[in-house]
Amino acid sequence: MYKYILKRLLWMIPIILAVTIVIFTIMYFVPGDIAKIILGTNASDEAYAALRERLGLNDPYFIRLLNYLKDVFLHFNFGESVVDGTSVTSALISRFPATLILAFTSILMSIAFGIPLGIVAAQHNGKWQDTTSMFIALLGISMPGFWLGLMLVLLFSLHLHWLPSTGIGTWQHWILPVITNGFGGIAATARMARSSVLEVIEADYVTTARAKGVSERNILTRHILPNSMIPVVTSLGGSFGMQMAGTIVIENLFSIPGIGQYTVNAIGSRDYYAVQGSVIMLAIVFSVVMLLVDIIYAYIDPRIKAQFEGQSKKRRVKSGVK
Amino acid sequence: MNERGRDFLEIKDLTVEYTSEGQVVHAVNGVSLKLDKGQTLGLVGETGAGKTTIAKSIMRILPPHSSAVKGGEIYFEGRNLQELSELEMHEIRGKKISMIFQDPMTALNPVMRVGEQIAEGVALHEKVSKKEAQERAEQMLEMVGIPKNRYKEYPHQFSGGMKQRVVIAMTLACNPRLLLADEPTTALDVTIQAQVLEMMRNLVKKKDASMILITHDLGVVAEMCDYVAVVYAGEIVEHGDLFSVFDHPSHPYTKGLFGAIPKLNEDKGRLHSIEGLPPDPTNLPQGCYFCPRCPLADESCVSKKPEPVVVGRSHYCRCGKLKKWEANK
Repeated sequence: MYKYILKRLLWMIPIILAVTIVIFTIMYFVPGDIAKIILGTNASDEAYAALRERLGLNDPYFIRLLNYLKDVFLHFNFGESVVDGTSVTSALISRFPATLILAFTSILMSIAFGIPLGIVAAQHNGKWQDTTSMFIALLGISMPGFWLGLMLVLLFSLHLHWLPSTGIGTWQHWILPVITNGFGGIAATARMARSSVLEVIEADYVTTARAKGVSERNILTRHILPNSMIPVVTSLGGSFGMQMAGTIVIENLFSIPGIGQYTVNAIGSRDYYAVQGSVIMLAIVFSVVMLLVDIIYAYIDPRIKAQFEGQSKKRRVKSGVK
Repeated sequence: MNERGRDFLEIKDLTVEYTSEGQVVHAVNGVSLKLDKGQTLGLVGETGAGKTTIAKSIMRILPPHSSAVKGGEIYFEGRNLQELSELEMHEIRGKKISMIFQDPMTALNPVMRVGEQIAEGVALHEKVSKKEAQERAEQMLEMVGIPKNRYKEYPHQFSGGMKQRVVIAMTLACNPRLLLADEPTTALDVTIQAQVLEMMRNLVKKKDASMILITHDLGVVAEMCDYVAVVYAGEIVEHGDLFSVFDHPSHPYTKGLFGAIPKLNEDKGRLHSIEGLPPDPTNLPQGCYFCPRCPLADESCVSKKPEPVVVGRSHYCRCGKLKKWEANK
């Protein structure tokens, strides 16, 4: 197992390297002139040329790529913002917690509300509990985040004055963004959990457990849930990645200084290095989350663990070491 | 009522229906059976004849939404199982009656250690500590020929035959009085089949349990059973002592089944088969259910449902043509 984790960690290096190269190349072909963005349109031609020379913009593609890779991977330096000259790295680091909080709370809400909702729906398949849960889930899936967020702001901030609508000063500030961000996740998780539980309820080993005289409660906790949660974990992991990117809308809506907002602003102002930095950062986070999901996976499903261990065994046999 | 209570197991006129997409599936249609302590009964019949449904009805583990017991009574050790509360059933399932399922590949929980799956039932019924339950489970594993150090392994680490051994260990762990074995060897390969059957027979004998063995293999029945009941379209068409049924099969369906077994000493190109297909359980034929396929059927078979006719000692048969047919033989 440890070998597998190590292997996966090593795999992350080429993946992130590839993401970096791709995003750099795309940005390289994006029309526009960094020097013009920095100096504005009123500077002299000599000033532009001097700045281009200083920033190394006149160098060929490969030299620039290599320099960028060197900065990013050896010095962990994503460059400076083209717009205001601040360090992209420190901006990303300072904005990272807000995005992480949003994504985490949203996942927590999916687990805390979505999974129970799905289980209740599956257990009462076809009855009113099922219909109600699935109606809520349908609402959650159909309502886009930006619309739900606006409606919540209208109701709770403008009319009722209960909650602030923008910023991140106190914990009250987080309530609306977290609900807005989490609702879709709850809905998706509830539907996933429902279908997965329904599938497992029919399984032979559940009948076996029942034939053993196990109580319905223990059948649920010991036999149905451990099996039905396997696909739910996968989908949660995937949605965590989506959350990291999906917070873009929420962060802009509620003026939360997170990575999403930073990325959107950077794209709007053609802040090349900031865009590249944000994308690479998201890629790293995504890879780490996916690794975590796979580890949790192996923990709850011994068959998958056996596969991982099987791979390293095979390799040992191949290389002749036993 | 009291008289009925004397038998170890008595099923009286059991009728079970499934509903599927608005259609009613008549799975079991008035089955009556008796079984004494220490006896083994073979339930024989085609796929879909309702054998498994009979067993699941005894355990009361039919799928709750799609099935319903429409009539009949099941007495076990003098108690009507249909009238017991769900809580009382928990005490009976796994403890007094346990069941082996057809497919060992899917009968075990894939994310639970096999030992724990055996120990779970023991801890539940025997009111023992976790450690004692584990010891008992290890003993059971050894008993079915699996080394006890494999207690901590998962089902995917076992072969099909070993999984079925685990299932058998699980069902016998609490010394049940009645074992329902639903095609326990169908999913296994022939060499393993013999081993598993041999082991089951010994274990049942050792624990002095009764068994209902569901199968479509007449060879297995001959090997294992004291009594045979032939099930066709949710009905017992012939029931009797093993030797009586094997020596004098009376129902045309039973005869057809025996006729379909190839004989080693005859050189034949084609195997015998029973003409036609089993009836559609959503739309059963009128009168005798077997009459559309029966070589002897006439109008009287369609108009009247045959009653059981006694043809030997504890041997009866449900065929309207029986007397005439026997005479013609």
